[in-house]
Amino acid sequence: MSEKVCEVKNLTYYYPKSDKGVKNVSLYVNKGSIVGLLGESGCGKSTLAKCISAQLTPESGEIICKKIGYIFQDNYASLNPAKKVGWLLKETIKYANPEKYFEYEKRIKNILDDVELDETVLEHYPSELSGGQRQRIGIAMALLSNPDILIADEPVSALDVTVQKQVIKLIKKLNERKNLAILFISHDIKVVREICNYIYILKDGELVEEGESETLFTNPSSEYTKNLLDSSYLE
Amino acid sequence: MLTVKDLKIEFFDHDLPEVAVKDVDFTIKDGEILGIVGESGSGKSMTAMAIAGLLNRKDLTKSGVIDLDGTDILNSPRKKIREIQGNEIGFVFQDPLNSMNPVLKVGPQVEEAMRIRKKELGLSKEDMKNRAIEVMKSVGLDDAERIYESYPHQISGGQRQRAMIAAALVLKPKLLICDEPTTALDVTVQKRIIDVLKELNEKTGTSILFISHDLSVIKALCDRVVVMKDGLVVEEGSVKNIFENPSKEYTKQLIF
Amino acid sequence: MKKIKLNNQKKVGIIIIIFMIVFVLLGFLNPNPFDLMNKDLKLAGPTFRHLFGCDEFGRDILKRTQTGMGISVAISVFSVLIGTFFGTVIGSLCGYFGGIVDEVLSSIIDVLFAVPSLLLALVFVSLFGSGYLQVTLALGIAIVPSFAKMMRSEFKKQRELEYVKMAKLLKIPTARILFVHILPNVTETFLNCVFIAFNNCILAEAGLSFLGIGVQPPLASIGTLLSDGGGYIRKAPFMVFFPALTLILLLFGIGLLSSGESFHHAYSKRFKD
Repeated sequence: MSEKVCEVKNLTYYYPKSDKGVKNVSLYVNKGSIVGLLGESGCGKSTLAKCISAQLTPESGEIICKKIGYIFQDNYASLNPAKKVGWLLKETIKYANPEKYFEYEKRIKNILDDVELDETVLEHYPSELSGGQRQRIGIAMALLSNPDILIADEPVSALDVTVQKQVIKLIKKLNERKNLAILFISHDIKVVREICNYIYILKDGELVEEGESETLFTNPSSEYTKNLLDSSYLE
Repeated sequence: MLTVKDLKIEFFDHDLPEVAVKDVDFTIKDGEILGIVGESGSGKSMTAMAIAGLLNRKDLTKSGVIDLDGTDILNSPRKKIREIQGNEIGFVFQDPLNSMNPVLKVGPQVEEAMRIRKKELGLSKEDMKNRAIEVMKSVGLDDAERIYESYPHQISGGQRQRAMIAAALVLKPKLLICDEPTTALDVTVQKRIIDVLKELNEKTGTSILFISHDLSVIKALCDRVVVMKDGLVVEEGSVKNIFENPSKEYTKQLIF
Repeated sequence: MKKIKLNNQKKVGIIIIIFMIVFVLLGFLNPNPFDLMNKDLKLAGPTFRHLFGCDEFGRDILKRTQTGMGISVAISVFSVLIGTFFGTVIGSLCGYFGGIVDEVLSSIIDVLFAVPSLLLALVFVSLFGSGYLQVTLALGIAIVPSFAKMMRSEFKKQRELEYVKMAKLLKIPTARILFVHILPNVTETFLNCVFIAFNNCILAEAGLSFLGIGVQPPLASIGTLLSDGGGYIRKAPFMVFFPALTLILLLFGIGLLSSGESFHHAYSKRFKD
């Protein structure tokens, strides 16, 4: 039994004045594993991520999590457009890891190596970079706080297919090298199947199914999952 | 029915001219579903807009031939193109929320193409409504009467997109151009839209030009496929061939 | 890599404003004192010695226009500084925090909005006496509401963007998020507001002085020059003409600077995946 880096117990959150939200969800992420959270729009997967990362305060339930790094979906809006990439990374180190601020140049160099970018990007504004490069910077910023778990909210949905593949490869590599746990949130079955070891399926705020990636795709138990698999034209 | 030859579109709105589409050739036969697949910036949407005659902009130049049953769309006067739009070509956009007017009811928006030609076609209000509801039912909107009286925000994304398809189909065009019609939708809804398009093609023989970044959707729907990259055609062929032996490295990368 | 791209309108605006600055600075070289009266030169027309002519006390209008323009601009600059500072702080707090902070501050702003700036200035002057300090303060306060409203809506939009959420997750201090992270992203609106406020200030100051509650004689501002000249518009039209011309030129210059396409970054290089 490996160590849990994040555990959510019976979490419930409703948006004000609506019946939407997450209802009594429990899940956990083990060290070094990639856990997928799959669901269609409005199923509450982003809400869950926001609760875990303390952007929202849940009504009831328990969240036990080690240090979190967060990757946003919109790689354009998640980087401050008025600042250069170098400034953004420096600022992140300053607040996420202040005791290491004195050696920020070395840290930036290392982190760029990790996300496979070269140092020329530092002198550019986010809008001058490609979508894939921006998302790598987003990952780099999340990694700078030395997280135990990375919450990736639709990290590749806004990217082209070929770029998606590269970013997924990178996330996999980071997972293997740093033994980093990843909670991978997506609506895209193909992407989730490619990357995740264990999968939770969410519908209307409730978990409908969970299981090892292989079993879940070959032998889905719930009707909803079957429907989902059927609709996505998997080869 | 549709022949595109040596299509070239060039933009001049920046300091340097930018080629959006170059040397694009393909044909669509009657009753065929052709897919164009490519990533962002590949020129697939530009090609579609050019075919629909929607590129009447001052900041670009177009050359080549787009021949729809003997009419050259690229070089026809505006009036002629207006006649073709709706009558012979229907267009479905990507985002069903933004392509509908939020302050008008769905029904009148579906009727729009008929209303413009009301006099020539000699249609009464009743006729238009009947026709609109008939088309809405044919694209799988079972409670068409209710949706006819609804505002766009009162119906779901999938219903909106089907209403838009209905709006494109009211005048029975020969060619339906769909520009990423399912990208903004959930997979289960996407499947239903694809099924509707397939059924439409089988029943009425309408040709469809389907544009997408998602090869698996193209595979499920189309007969033939054109792969585009950076404004150029990379590969063209039947869906079966492209999937079983893609000849270009780029096509292989696209297949997930 | 980042350049500020100027369109032709802005270029013309900058040229006019530089011209006006030079015009005011040349006043220091003008040998005629602004308050020397000379009864022989009463309402004398433009001559080489007195390019803009002389007023009803025989004072040199060119010199008076130059000092007057300087004073008007100084009053406006300081009012805009006051108004911008408080407007930005209040607006950013309202927009960023929302909720109760927004409600309280917004209601104060709304009350201020309901009071016409002229009335506010009159109240100030009747409380503290007339003079340019009072006028500056009154105009500054009059700018705050509109500035705060604009900044509020901008900050409200920015607050929803993910880079701000990212900064919050990093626990960056709120003041730093507001003024280091967000403010550079709203410079467009910010600058346009500043230009418009400056324009209004110059006009409002001229209006107040015209009513006699701004700058006191023998000091001059554009407003007092116009009001003085108004009485002699038939006998000596040049008394109004030249100050009015300089005022129009200045406002035109500022207007051009804030008009058209706003400042935006021009990027010379783009990456591709």
